[in-house]
Amino acid sequence: MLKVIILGDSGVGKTSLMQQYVSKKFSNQYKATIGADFLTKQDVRVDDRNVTMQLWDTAGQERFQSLGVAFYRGADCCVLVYDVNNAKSFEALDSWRDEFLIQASPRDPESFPFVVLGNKIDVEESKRAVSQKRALAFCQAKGNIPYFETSAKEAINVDQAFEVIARNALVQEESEEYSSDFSDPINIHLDNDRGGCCS
Amino acid sequence: MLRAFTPVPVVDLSSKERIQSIYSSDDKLFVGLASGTLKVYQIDDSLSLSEPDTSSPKKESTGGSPVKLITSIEKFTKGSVDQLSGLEDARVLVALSNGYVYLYDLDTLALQERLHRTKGAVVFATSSELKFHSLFNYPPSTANDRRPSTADIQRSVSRLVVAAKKKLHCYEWQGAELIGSREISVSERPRSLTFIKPDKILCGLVVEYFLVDIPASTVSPIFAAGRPIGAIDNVLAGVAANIGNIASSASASARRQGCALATRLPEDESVVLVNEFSSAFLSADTGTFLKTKRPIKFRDVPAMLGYSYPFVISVTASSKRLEVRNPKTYTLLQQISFPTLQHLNDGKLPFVASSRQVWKLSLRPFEAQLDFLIEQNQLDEAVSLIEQLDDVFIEDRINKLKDLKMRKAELLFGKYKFSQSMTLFSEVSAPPERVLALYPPAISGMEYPNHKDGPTEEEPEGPEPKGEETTEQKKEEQPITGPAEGESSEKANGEIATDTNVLPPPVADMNATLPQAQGSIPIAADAISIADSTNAEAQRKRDLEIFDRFLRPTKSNSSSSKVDNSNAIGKGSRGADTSSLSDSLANFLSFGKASTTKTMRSGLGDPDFLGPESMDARTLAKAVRCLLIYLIDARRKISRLASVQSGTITKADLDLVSKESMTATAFGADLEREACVVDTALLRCYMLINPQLVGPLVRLANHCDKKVVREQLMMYGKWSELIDFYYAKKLHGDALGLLKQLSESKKTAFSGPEPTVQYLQKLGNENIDLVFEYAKEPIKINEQFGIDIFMANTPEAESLSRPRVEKFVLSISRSLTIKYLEYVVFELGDLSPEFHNDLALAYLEDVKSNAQLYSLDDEMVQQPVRKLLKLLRESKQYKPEKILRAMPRDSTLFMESKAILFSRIGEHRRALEIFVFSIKDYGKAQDYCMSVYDTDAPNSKTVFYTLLELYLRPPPTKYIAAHGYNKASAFSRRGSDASLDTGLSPPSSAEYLRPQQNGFYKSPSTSSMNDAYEHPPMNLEAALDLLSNHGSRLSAIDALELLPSDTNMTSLGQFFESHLRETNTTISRDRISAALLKTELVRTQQTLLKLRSKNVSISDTKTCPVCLKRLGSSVISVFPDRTVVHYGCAKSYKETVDSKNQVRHNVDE
Ligand SMILES: Nc1nc2c(ncn2[C@@H]2O[C@H](COP(=O)(O)OP(=O)(O)O)[C@@H](O)[C@H]2O)c(=O)[nH]1
Ligand SMILES: [Mg+2]
Repeated sequence: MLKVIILGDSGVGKTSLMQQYVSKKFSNQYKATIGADFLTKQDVRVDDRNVTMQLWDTAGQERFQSLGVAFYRGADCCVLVYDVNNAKSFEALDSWRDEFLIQASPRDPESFPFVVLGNKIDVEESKRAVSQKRALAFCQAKGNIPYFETSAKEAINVDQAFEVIARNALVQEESEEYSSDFSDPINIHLDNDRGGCCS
Repeated sequence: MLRAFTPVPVVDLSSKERIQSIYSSDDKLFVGLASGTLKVYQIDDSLSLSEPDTSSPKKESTGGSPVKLITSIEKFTKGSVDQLSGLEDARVLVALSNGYVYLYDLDTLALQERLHRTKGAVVFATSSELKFHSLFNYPPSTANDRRPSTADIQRSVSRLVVAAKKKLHCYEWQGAELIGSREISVSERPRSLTFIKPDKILCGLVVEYFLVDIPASTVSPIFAAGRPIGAIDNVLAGVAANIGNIASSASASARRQGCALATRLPEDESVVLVNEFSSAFLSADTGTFLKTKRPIKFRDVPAMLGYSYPFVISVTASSKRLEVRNPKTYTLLQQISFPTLQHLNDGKLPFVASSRQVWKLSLRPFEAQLDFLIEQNQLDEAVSLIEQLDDVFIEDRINKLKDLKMRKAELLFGKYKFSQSMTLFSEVSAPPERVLALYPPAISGMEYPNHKDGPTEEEPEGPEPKGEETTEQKKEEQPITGPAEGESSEKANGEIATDTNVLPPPVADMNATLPQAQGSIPIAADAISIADSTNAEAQRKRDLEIFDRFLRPTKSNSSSSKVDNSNAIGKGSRGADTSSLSDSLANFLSFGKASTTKTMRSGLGDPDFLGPESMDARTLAKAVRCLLIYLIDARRKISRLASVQSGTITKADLDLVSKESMTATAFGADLEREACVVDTALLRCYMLINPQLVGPLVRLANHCDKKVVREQLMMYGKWSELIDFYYAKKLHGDALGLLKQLSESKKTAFSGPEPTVQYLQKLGNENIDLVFEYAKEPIKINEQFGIDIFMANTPEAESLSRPRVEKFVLSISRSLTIKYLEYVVFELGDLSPEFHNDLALAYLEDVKSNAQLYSLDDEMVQQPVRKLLKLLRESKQYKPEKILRAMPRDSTLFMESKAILFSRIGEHRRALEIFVFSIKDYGKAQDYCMSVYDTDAPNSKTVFYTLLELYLRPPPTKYIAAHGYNKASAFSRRGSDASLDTGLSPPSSAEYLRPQQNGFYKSPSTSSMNDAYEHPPMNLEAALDLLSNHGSRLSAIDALELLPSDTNMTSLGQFFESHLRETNTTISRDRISAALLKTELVRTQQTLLKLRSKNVSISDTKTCPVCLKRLGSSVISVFPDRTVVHYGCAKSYKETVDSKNQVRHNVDE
């Protein structure tokens, strides 16, 4: 089970991207997501393995700082989404990334996989506010984050992006497995159930 | 052991009597004997729940017996009274005797009925809807409020189910009225009956369990042939199978007392089934097995089982012991020994009975129970108890619970279960100070509680500033806190630390395990053996390195003693570096705290725990890593509370998205301060175990203590993080100060001016003074930085106040000023006249100063000249007067510019003078006239004449010279100031035309006047050229007047011709238009006539042909045939006319 978290400003198309990827659907209606929610995509092929991906969507609650530990815990990959026609949503990416790093506090932040998606590229070129060059420069500066320009509406690059997301998440999960026994050496010994009695 | 219940002996019968059954109602105890006698006792009200304060005097005052025998009825039944129960709402007492069920009046005890159909009855059960939902006795103060109303009682349904042969006989009362009965057949004789819902009963057969739904009369198997029905995992199946085998010894006794070894646990609506040692849970709602609940493990086979809020009570098969358990944790809380018990009456008023004696199980007040559990460090139990209790039993229950959980978390911490501990702290939103107190000052930033008493250290968190002192102290402390030698004591410690099931040993034991520094070494060794995969090893190494780094600044002095220590311990090769590092860390963390240990210990309530200073590096690392769980959660919660407090989000919004309910009181009142404590601790943690996260933390909105951040980040040269922090905190002065320092250093990535410039680029107008302060130096190094800072196309750069930036760059360099003004004027399109003026003036200055250094045709001079011209031509914003005033009077470099300026202020003569006398470009002069010529503007319609005048009546030479028109040099040193007045004075034609005014025209060539009035020769050629090209644009008369009398007529041919042509054109044009206008007049007159002929006149007496009323002054309609009707009548008139036409039409046909 790969856990993927999708972050970004409201309205950039997080929910739409997930819907497009998981159920090949797109709706023009904007419905604010409420509560942290996840979709599951089964049988995702990564090279020659079959994995299940759990995609966690966020809602307005990012604003409310109410995404609890459960939301971030055990994430294998973090997807940062912005709207290429909205410069503010792009400028917010850095904060989203920082916020994720703090909340998830991965052991090795440098190697933790992020993927950046610039969404809504189907919209007419004249509306575009963030150039590909600028986005790429950002991704490069943050340690060569993979970057995709997508459209949830026209299903452009969505599958390709999630393929990379899945692959990177898998790598991360495996590396976590390696180090996990180190992480809680004490618990292993001491945490047996204390049922029985005490007298 | 907890005393939840106190057994109070209430009935003691003679040895001849044998108790066969007991039943207690609200205030009465019924005891049925083998002889058929029924004894009824009054239960003393004062001895209800709140009473058993265990205060012995009170007990004595009631004479030792809280019940009074009211009545004793012999031969109440024919045989022995095998089972007793009551239907309180129906006021019926039910008794089983001789294989029949009898109903009595509960109050008078008069026999009502023998239920004939129940012949062969072995067991029965009763249920009341009302009773089902009230779990416990409320304290007396609230009891009255909660007592069900009569109406409720009348509506309430009570049921009696009797098992007789292979049938269940069900009777139903509503209020006091028996409303029906039914029979339900089952495949075998039921042995036990347990109501699990008011209308559902669990029915135990020999090897089967059925769930019977009474209203639906359905019977569904739960076990068949010892096997559970439905899919159950293996473990549960085993347990369940065991339970299915009901024909055991335990169930025999169960049957005897009329209840299966099954009891309902109201708090989670489950039913526990017990057989022998095993148990399983059913959902009371669905009758299915609950896989999530693990079984209760009994040490002795229970023979009777019941529930009395909030405990599970059971009697062992040996019948000598009553056991009290927590239904959640299953912990055996209390055991009470009795002579052989035969009967258990559970529920609100629990009683137990042997064959001759009855005891009331009197519940101890919960507060006292809690205190006891806490005192005994049974925090899990205390928490579980308080969680199950209703608010009415415990004052301030929520806070007590919170406090308990915090204590428990501290206990867990003491047992090195950091993750659990921190999760629990988060769960209750513990105050950060309390959590951080568990950590050394290097993390918490706090002084130890008793630290102020000590004569040492005032800044415990800052190892750097007092590096030497601390090291010294460390050495001194070592005899106390340093490692001990004994291997054996190590072992002992290890056991204690790893075994969680054993409660803390007595304090005396613990004392032997001092000193503390090595207390945790066995754990470290354990951990190493676990972490044996290569990856983990690498990770471990890295972590240790980080620690090492963390320690280095302070431990240089103590390295020698450190080596000694590690040798003394003599760990294996692998452990060597761990232990030495851990020692140094322990030393580092524990300086000045020898006396602290005790406080910590008592504070934690866990004598095992030796304080954070006893941890080795690895353990501490883990403790710190787990602290993140708490800190991140706290950070999030505080930030949410803050946004609610500040009104950024509403409570309603919050509730919408989050189930977590939180109040500000979860944390301290001063959120700001709490936030600071949390964020600062988070920073310290990251510094210690994950420095890469420091960046994200300080870049985000945070409340880290500025002082600590500076100290920590400086210590490790995390400059870029520190600068990010300053930036996020808007401490730009600090940031720039630091950048300035760094720029002077050679080695860092921050040397040179670029980082400063980059920082300045992020600042807007609100920090403009800082920008100026720190921009100076980089710009001095390279003017390009000025461009980068002030002329970047960023919102920040554009927000800077332009006048202020101009003033600033002006103070630095002219070339930068020019660049800036060009940027403002041309790129930003700023229309303020000041910038345009200043730019022009700056160009001017540029030309002037460069002209001193370079030759006049050098690019250095010519370029600004061109730029100036361009600006003057293109811009409409500058003030020409102002520029003119600054122009040197006599410089040829500015002549063209001046012409433009004069032109702008409408001084066309002056402009033309420049073209004629200075530039001597007559073509340009003509062009100029063309461009400004405008017959409608008084100022411009005479330009051609003016030019002609300049050609033919040039001003005196002196005048020309005075304006520098004929100077070849750039400009004289006289400067411009002297010429200001002349430059701006209105065209003083008087000045040089005086001779003419005097009626004396003086040909320049024949001038013999003094120098002052000498005129240059007239330029007839240019004049004639002008006349031939533009002759029509000036008055011929005026022009002829100016021409010298000896002018050759032929040379004027073209002038006349064009003038004539022009005049002719005008004449014919005027004629045509006159003719056209005449035509127009005729046409207009014709129209007028036509319109007049269409008039109708309305007199006072004229009436409307439709309604025959006077037209008066109403709105009217006039038809083509000049008929006049009211506007309102027009429609009907039109219809009449139309129909007439129609008729006529038809007739025509
Ligand atoms: N044109 C266009 N619109 C999109 C695209 N993706 C999402 N939208 C629209 O943008 C709005 C917000 O999308 P949503 O997925 O709810 O954004 P979220 O708040 O990030 O979950 C909706 O109206 C979508 O229909 C896209 O790729 N192209
Ligand atoms: Mg959404």
